[in-house]
Amino acid sequence: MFLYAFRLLQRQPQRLFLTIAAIALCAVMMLFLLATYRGVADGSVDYIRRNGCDVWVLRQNSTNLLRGTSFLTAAIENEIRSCDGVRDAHPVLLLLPSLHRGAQRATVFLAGYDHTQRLGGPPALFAGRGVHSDSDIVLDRAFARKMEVGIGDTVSINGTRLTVCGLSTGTNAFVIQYGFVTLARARSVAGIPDLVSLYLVEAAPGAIPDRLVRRIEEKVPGTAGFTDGTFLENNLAEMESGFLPLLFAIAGIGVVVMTVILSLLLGITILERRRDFAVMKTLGAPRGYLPGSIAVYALMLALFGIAAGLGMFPLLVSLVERISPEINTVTTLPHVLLVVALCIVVGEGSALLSMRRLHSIYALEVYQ
Amino acid sequence: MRSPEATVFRMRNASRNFTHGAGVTHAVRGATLDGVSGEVLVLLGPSGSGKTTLLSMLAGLIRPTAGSVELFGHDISGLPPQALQRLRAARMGFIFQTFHLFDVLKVEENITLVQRFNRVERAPAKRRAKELMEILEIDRLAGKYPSELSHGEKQRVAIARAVANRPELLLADEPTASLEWNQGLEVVALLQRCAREFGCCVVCATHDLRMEEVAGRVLRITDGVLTGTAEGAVGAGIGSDADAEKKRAGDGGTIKKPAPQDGTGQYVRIPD
Ligand SMILES: Nc1ncnc2c1ncn2[C@@H]1O[C@H](COP(=O)(O)OP(=O)(O)OP(=O)(O)O)[C@@H](O)[C@H]1O
Ligand SMILES: [Mg+2]
Repeated sequence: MFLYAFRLLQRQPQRLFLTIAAIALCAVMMLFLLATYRGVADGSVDYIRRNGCDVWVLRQNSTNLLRGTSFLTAAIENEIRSCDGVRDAHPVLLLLPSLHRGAQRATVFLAGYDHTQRLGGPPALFAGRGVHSDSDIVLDRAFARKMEVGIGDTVSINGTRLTVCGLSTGTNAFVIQYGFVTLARARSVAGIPDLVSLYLVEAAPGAIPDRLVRRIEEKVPGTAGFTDGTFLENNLAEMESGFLPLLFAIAGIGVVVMTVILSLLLGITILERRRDFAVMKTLGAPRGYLPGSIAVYALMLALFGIAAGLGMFPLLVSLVERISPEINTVTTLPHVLLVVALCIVVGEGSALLSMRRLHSIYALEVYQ
Repeated sequence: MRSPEATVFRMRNASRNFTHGAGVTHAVRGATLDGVSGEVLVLLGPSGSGKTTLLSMLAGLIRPTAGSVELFGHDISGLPPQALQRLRAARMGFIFQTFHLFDVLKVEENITLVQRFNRVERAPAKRRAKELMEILEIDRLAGKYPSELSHGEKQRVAIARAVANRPELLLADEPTASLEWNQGLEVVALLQRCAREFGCCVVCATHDLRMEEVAGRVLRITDGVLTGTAEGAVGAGIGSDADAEKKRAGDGGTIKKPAPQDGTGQYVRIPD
């Protein structure tokens, strides 16, 4: 089986090349989608994941940061602080202003936080330092690259000039990137002095976050509290509901296209080698030999295609990063294995589809 | 070498019809024929007379519509397709007019593949292929693809492939029809050697009258009817003194152990 399938591939170099290229492209596309998904998932929730607070307090009916508006008054800060089991509460104001640099303009997910505190700021700094004063801004690294700004450069929001003091990572949510300023600066930019979006609550030692949530919601009407884990899940679910269907649709199209291409190719190969298969039947090839050869042929195509795809993938990623820095890709081993498995399944599925043609080849054809 | 007179096939009153639409073609009608090992049986007949149909029945590729065909003691009507496939792989060899080599495989691989069909391990299959290529003087072609060979060379490869599994029955359909005169002669001699030295029962459907000279028996088929059995030279060299030997034996075509010599005067044994 192996020998015949291998020689068949070898003797049709042009077809081999085209098929491998098609499979490689499909594999690359699937890998890229998965890597983008991982990148978006990480970038969307890293701010939450790495924040380190125990309870998130938002406006009632708000469940996540990504798609929702939450406004709370600054006045409730003390009420939250005075709840049993609360060690501290830190206000954060989230805005979606336009950021300008020269003629360039882009929307930034601006977080104003109490820069004197540990919580609410960028999850990780790639370069520079954190926010020290009202004239500082930390920008997401990919956003900065897109805007072609570096540390020390000046940008403006609503006419307020800010100096880029640091570049953060884990703050790229694909469709939007984070920026960080002081709470006072965010309020002045928004022109709403006494509003915040949410509070990051630290629990006192020994306090159970679940109970804390209930206590805060009871004591401060109009708020919704979430433990860190629940809030992370909410945001992931929100991100996935917007992104996963698209991802699945594109990946699904890729799989269908690949299956169609492969089964057509295998079908053509079977018809072209019809005489060989008839001769094999006459010469007493075991029952599994013919379908086995097709399966091995498809498997080899899939494996060569995957290998080519894996070779091409890093090139594609570096190219995309250069063209669109805000596209953050994270490639993981499980995703690579998933794509490999999918390509093999598609290969064997196509083989299975085209094997039906073998039934209509008769040994007697050798005498025609 | 097998026992020279073992019955390989037995055909009794076998007929084969093909229906197409309202019409019926009686391709073979009531054929009765036995084949024994070591014998060259030549089937002569005009185009459309039923030669290939008869061979196909002997191969178990089609079943008779009436009568019976027994292969190696088994009635093919009662055998499941897989058993027939096993019989073809293990006990039969095939030679075709247009060679039907696997052109994506090299010469040596063509000869090993059929042995793999017969579940021979890779190493002994390769050894056997080498041995046969040497005997058939095609060892220098081992690494070539069939498209690089002459017709005569292709048919030699096909013969090597056909005998690779040491078949008891060798079915050849017009083996010389695509060949030039000399190449045809070589093939005729080789088929004769297969019978004589390997003990195969060779059944050869042909138009080639040269085959008569090496035939143990010549059968004529017209309109599906085996019209007569003429005796030919029994298992001896082309135009050799086998006729004389047969006459001495006075047995009218019974298989005789051949003289240790082929048409070229060289004795090359095909090992079994
Ligand atoms: N599968 C088939 N379906 C219908 N008719 C068939 C089939 N096979 C053979 N025949 C018919 O049976 C008859 C005998 O055919 P066969 O091929 O056995 O002849 P042949 O002696 O081998 O001829 P040739 O020398 O041309 O090869 C022909 O009339 C042919 O058309
Ligand atoms: Mg014929």
